[in-house]
Amino acid sequence: MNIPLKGPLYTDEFEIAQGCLKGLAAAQNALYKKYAPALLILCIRYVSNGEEAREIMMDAFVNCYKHFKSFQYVGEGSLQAWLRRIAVNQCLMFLRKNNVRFLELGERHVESVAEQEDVLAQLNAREIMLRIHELPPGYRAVFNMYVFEEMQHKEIASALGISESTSKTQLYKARLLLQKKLSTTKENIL
Amino acid sequence: MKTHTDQEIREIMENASVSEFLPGFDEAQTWKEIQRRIQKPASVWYKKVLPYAAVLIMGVLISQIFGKLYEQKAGTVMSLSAVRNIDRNIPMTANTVAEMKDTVVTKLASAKRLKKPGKTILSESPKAIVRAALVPETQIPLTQEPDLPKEQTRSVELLVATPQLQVKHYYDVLEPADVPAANTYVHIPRKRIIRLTNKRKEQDYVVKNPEQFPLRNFFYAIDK
Repeated sequence: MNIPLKGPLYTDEFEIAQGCLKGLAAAQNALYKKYAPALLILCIRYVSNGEEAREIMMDAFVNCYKHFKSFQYVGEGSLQAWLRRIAVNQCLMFLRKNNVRFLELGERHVESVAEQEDVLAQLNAREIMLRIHELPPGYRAVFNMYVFEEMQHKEIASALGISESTSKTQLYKARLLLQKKLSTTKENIL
Repeated sequence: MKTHTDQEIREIMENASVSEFLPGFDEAQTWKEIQRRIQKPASVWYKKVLPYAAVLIMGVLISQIFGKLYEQKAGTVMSLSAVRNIDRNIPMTANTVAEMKDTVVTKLASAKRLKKPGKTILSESPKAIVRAALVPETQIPLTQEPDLPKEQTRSVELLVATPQLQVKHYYDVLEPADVPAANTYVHIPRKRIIRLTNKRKEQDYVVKNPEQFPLRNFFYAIDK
């Protein structure tokens, strides 16, 4: 005899959000299970050290549960986006604590380096992560925010406390550096 | 500058597994830690406040203990120096250095007082040192004040007692018959300031702070 399940199953974001708003542990656990892997990968991209990334991810979840009242559900995906933003902020805070400076750079001629980027797309996730980790923390943060969080330069500049032009220049330099490293890797493989 | 490759990279990373980057990641253990942190604020608050509270309580207790000790000690032995203007023929009796100092102090105090108008009785400089020790004894009623002869009590003034002062000749019942033998010494452990003046009325003592200085505990001594 099947016993009917009582209460929500927390399968979609809305249910999870409703549960978390009430402070229900089951909903919080569902949220964690749903997004912990993605958030951990996000944190690893920023801080490179796995254990530190795990700590940051935990802080992000704790902050999320604590300040859940400030979350506004606007459709499927909004909870994930909110959680990712919290995690990114936690990562940036960590970088600031570790004296990572996002130096103001002068406006440079930012060229498109897209024609060679497909090399990066040919790598697997682990290799991409390794290449990203080889970037200086400042470049890495801008690269991550632009490429993975799809943030505009204006938003990046605001989050990092730098000018828009610096954000653009850092992204350009990050891409350039990645290309160099990838071309070196490619040569070694060949 | 966003290119199609950004999207491809995003997809690669989104489809990646955590184990590729952090093989030892324990999801259940991490969840337990998160739960502990969620419940942490109260315990953290207590942990932060508790040491300060403990130090505060300790401080209060210690201050109370020392306060009580001080009260006890202050109540056991207390000395007062008194000066009175009496007959010139009574000799100075300062034997020790401390007593000599007291004499000087009392002389100066008396000299100041002499300058004030309307104090013709006190026109003479101090001629004798009167010392007193204060010992708590509640049995003697407050009204029982030193029964000194008029001429001896006109200008009685109690001055500051110095630490380590040895008071010579004291007696607790203020009658000439009860004067103890000479060379009786009382050890004074600390400084205590109490003044007893007799400026307005003869034979009446004006105690500025009776709580600090109950007359019933006043032991008067006269050097002969």
